[in-house]
Amino acid sequence: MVPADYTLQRLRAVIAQAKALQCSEFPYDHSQQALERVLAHFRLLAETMESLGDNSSTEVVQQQCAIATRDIHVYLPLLGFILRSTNARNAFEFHRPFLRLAQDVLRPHADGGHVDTCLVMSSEWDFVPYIYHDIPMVVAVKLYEMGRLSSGAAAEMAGVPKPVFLGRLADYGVATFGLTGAQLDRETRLA
Amino acid sequence: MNATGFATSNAAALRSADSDLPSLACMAAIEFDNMLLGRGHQTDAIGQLAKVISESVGDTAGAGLPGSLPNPTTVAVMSKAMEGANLGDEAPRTVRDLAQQVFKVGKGLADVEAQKQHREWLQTMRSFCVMLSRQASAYQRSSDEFRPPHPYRT
Repeated sequence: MVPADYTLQRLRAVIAQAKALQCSEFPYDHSQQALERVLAHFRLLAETMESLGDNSSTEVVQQQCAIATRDIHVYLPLLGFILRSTNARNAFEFHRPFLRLAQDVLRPHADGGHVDTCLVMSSEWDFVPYIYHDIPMVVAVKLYEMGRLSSGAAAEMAGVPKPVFLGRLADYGVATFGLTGAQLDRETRLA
Repeated sequence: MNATGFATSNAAALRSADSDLPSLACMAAIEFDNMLLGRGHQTDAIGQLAKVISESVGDTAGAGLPGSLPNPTTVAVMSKAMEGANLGDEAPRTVRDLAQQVFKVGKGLADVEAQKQHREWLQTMRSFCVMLSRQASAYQRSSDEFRPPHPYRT
């Protein structure tokens, strides 16, 4: 299969996925509008790919394939974000107040009617600041700070050697050697 | 719960606000390719690219002292694109030289109607647009960089 055909198939798959998402129930139409914009972008990309013929320049076709592949990589997480703004996953009671905030921040001087700020609220966990690759570290630091775990046990939980764990405590705003006498006793007991 | 905001407007305004240089340069390359193949004479993307290129060097290309230096990324992207397409009589030795060459390219693109009979020029411009698209892609920030900072990491 030539790269153009392969890319076109991928673009069509993204379009099909976005169309399937349109059948979801959203509590407000901003999610649908976002989907429409994503769809319009990928339809344009697919049309452009289809317009390239066999006699088109190879370097042009390859670059258009690269652009399309890049956009698939960029937009797929966005589709996931929109998916998680459906009825069942949405705190839609916050939408209106947050929308007013967003309007004030993004378009403070919007001229009436022509520009309309939209807001999609999602429970996409990839974007939740607490869900990061170092979440075990965060939990371990907190348990250590609360005195529930010794530094050794917390380091084991975080999956790092004890010196590394102690060295990184400051990154999380926890004093490495700020233990009271009672805490030191407990630390010794837990160790 | 997370949220993302975006502003909607009419299609023309959206297109004019689009600063996606890799896509725009690639579309311009496609338009040049179509002209070479005799498949159409659309020059919308070429016109937009001419505007973007001219604005990227701004006052620096003028005869007097530069009003401001161009963005370093712009300098890197443009010089590599021009080098890749063998554009320019000689390799630029200063930022001013480069800016003047880039400005000339932008002017040529803006004047595409007058130039489109010259097949060699069309081929050179097609190569330049492809190279520009590639270089601009390489310098583009990754979407991963736009992640929010970690609340515990200062």
